[in-house]
Amino acid sequence: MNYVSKVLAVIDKDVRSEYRSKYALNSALLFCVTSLVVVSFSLGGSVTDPRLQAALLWIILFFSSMMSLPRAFVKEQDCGTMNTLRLTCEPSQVFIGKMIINLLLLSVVTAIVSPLFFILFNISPPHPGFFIITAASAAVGLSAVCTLLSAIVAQARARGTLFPVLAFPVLMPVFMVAVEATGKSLLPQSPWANSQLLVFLACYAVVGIVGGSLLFEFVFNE
Amino acid sequence: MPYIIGTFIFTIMSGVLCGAIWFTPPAKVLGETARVIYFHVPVAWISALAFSMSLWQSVQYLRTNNPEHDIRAEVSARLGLWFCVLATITGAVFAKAAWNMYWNWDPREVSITILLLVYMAYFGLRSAVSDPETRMRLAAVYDILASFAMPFLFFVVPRIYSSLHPDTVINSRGSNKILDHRMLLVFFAALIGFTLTYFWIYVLSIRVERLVRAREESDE
Amino acid sequence: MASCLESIKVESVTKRFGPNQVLDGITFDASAGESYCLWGPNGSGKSTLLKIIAGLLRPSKGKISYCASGKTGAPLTFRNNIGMSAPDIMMYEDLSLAENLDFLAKARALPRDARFEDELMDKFSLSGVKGRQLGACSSGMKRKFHLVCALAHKPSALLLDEPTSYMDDAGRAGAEEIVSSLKKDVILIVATNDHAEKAWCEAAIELRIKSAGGNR
Repeated sequence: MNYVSKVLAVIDKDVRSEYRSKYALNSALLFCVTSLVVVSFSLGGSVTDPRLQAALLWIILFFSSMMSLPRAFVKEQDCGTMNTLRLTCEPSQVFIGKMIINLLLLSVVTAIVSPLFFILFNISPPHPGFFIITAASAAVGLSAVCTLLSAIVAQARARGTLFPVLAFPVLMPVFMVAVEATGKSLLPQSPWANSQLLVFLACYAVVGIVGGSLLFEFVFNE
Repeated sequence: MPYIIGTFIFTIMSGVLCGAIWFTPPAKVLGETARVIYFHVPVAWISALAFSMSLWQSVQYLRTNNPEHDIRAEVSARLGLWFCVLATITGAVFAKAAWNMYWNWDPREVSITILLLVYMAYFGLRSAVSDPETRMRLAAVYDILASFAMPFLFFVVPRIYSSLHPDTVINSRGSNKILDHRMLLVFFAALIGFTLTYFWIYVLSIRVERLVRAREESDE
Repeated sequence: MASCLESIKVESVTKRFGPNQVLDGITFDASAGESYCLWGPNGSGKSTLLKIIAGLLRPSKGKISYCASGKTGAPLTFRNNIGMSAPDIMMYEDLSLAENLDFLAKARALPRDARFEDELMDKFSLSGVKGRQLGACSSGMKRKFHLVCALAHKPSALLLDEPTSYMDDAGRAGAEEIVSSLKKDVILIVATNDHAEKAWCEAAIELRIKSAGGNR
């Protein structure tokens, strides 16, 4: 219980300061909405292949997370509070806290952007449950890996470009499987025959969390 | 002693080169183009070996904080990257000859692309961190993180992209049926020769890297 | 206080940044009740040494060990015993002072002494601005608040880097009063160029600028 409340302290602090500035959420949402509008303007109703639609949705979500997730630690570094965290918190406490913050951010963005996407592309998802599980388990893996990478990038230069470069190859498996599973969920026939895709995403999430928290200590402590 | 080893490796490699061109017969299914396997497969094997070595040395670095391990990890990653590029090129040339297309997103092409991206990102990260100790630490962490993602990649890619790769054609029906003993001889000689060459370059590069770093430290 | 620190051992600590040697074989031993001043010109490595002692930087060579009730370990394993204030260690500017203190207390999950916190805040006349966002405070107030944050969890090792810079006279007097009242129980290490702060400490460790070109 003690540990849980220590993690909650980190989350609480970040939620408060994000609530005041709304910087990360606003920039991610603005990016998503802009790119969504650009994509639907340029393609209109011509994209009817579910797999292509799924790919477009995930490209938008992926790049918006490339913009908003690195902020978790870049902000701490830039505001000079990284050392405060080091002096106050255990590494795993910080990792779990920041991961949950990133997960919340990603969930809010996905929950707003996907319905918009479905409306603009005139899709009524036949299997919303499958899609939601796909998005949720992909988001967990994504936020675990991005949290670790955010801590890496915070200590480097040229973070804005470095982050997607580092993230893309590592997140590739999640990305491909998420596109595949989302594509299946947009087809009329039942996608549950492909539930091994969900198992895959869940495994990736578990490895991401365990590996991330193991490696985080080396990034966080000098 | 280094000269003896050098001459030995040179002899093997020239033997492999001549053997691959004149000694072996053309393959039954793929014809003359199949001669690329004497180079393509060893080169791909070396890059896998070098990347594994880099991973191992990164783990050792995080355990011991000894910069020597970082030198080895970096040198291995660099060699791995070069051999990976060679494997990509030899593969693409063969693909052009066999299917008239340099690139067709076969699973191995996808995997090798991602491997290239991982290690390009690795060197991108190295050059973006100015403090040497931080650089070594972060690079090692990224190396290990990337290796966590690799099994997923090898699991998922073949399920999504369909394969054209000839080794499934060669291996699945038992290699001795299609590769005759002369081909096998040259093939394994090539594997050994390339592996020895790799270790030779590896040892030399480590020595160079040590000198480079010592100079960086004592400069100014 | 969790368990009291008995001593901090600094064993031949060396630090280099690339080609620049900053610290060269610093060794000393500080026990509870002792106070040391790190003294030397700008660039002699005072702040670096303090960060190394706190475990925020890794020494190139050498070792720091903390010792508490028979256990020894690296600095950050005793993070709840460390109170540190330095010009480049910030608190959260978009949170209010009270929220900052809340965060520190909850994140550490130590028993909290609200009366002691209030006392500290009063001493620096910050009680009136508790609800203000830290970003809206002046530099002097921030420095005072950083000192409050360093002391709030009653650490047994106080690592202070120019603790009273930017402070007004009342703040300096308050800081001196608090530190001298705590001094007998804690390990106090102050890095400073200020004679008044130096006077807080019983002993001084002189640091010099190393000649360029490393140690060869």
